[in-house]
Amino acid sequence: MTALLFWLEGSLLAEAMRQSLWLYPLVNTLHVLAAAALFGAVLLTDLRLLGLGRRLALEPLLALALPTVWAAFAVALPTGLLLFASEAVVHGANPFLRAKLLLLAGAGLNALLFARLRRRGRQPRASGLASLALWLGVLVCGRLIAYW
Amino acid sequence: MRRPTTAAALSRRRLLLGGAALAVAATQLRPAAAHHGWRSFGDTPFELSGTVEEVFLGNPHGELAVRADDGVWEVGLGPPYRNRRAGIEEGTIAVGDRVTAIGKRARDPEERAMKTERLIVGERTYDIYPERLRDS
Repeated sequence: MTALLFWLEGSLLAEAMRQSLWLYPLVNTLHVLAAAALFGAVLLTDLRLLGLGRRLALEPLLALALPTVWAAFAVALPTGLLLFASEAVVHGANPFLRAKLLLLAGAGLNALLFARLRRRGRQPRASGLASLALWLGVLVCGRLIAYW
Repeated sequence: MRRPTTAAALSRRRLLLGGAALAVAATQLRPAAAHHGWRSFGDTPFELSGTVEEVFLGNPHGELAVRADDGVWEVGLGPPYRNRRAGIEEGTIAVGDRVTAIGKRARDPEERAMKTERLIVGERTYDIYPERLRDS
């Protein structure tokens, strides 16, 4: 595992992330923008599930929020991998990063469960609450990676 | 005829000028504050010995000013919690201490700056980035 992290950090791509004047800030900025877009869409959906803004019908809201979440995730994932690679050895031992990945998996499972329940015509508050807590955890842990 | 918007236009211009001045000032700042993480440091092992002139252990990361033969070096440490895990606390390093810092130096050869993986203060060794020390 450690050897793999050293290899990743020594890779050409990781080296480019460290050496290039603009690549790291660009990737970092994209990652933050993606996180903002993703959490924004998730937050509104969760608040609606929790009972706020009932004047908004859930279905059209989801029709906008879900593609937004997926598009944001499609940006967040590769940029996150690049950020990780740039300092793989130190990040690989970072508990906040591990917690973030676990919470991310939890958020994914929660969304999957919600999709199944929705097909059965249910829209439980608990899904919204769990989603909010998990994604908040993802963001907080993500930010704290730098301080470990 | 007086234009009623003069005062507003003036204050807007002043605001623009102020903003431009700030932007210019920002570009004049030394890039030292941008030394986070390992990005701006090279890959070849580096060692520096000298006398501590300043100690800072706060956020976003600690820093020593170390006088060596060729001048004063900016010696980066870890973020506060990492330093504490390594055993470095307020008082561990004092002005006047002889230290040896092992790590990587700044890529820019003009800069007297490094980031520390292992710090030796007197007889004691502090491994600040043990996960990075495997290869050195």
